[in-house]
Amino acid sequence: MYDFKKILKSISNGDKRSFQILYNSFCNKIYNTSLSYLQNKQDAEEVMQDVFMKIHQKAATFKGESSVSTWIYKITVNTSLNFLKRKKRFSFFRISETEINKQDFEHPGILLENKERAKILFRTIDTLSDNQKTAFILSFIEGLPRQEVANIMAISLKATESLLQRAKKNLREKLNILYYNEGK
Amino acid sequence: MDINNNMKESEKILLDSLDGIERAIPNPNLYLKIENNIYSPKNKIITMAELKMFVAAAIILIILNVYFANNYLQNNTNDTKDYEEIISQTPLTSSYKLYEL
Repeated sequence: MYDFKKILKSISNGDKRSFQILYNSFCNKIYNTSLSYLQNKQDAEEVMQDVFMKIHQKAATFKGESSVSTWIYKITVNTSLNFLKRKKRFSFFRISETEINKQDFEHPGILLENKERAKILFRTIDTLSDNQKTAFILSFIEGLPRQEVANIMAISLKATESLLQRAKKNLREKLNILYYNEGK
Repeated sequence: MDINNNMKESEKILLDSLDGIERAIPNPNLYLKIENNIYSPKNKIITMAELKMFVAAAIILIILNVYFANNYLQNNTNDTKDYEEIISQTPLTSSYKLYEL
């Protein structure tokens, strides 16, 4: 088990080996989180690059008030949400190809027999507000404990629970319409 | 009651689709790409979209410059004309008996 705080310090001193260790430890988490937000492999890889660039640039400023994992998740969530906003802004000028791909997004990690239903679920997640989406993705897709989700979102545990309740309520309503429209 | 049950059932079916979800694996070449970007920064590559934005901004700037320059010149010409008119209509002196008290 690595001491990631020390590893961040080494990265800030320009140590390539430490950067590689951090990459190997977090690349899957960052990629999967951004993939859940963006529902597009190329976009998720672009965000992942941005996240690692930011980690490298800001390694020296890490204060150690939270765990390294929480800090990295925070950067990933913010970068993904900003990417989505930027994309939305530019889609005003042109119909984005990825918007069309999003409709048919298949998460590569979903079991074959669940693919069709998961497609509907991801389409519905995409309609949630940023906060509800974040709480849902981190809790149910990333499987993080509620307290860590609260730390990442910089809100209380109670607020996280309430966000999840609202997210589930919204999902239930939207899913019901979609699921029955798709003909089960 | 039946609708509520249906809603709960469909929610459960769809949420259960996340059961056994495995982690997606990013492109294995991505590390090299990131490392290259960080440790050997090249010249910044301008994307086509960025280039279009630059060109559009430059065109808008030129149009605004031409418009305001034109406006300025026209106003100036009008001012000069007005001034010339006033001068031509006003006699330089009312009489040439300058030293008469």
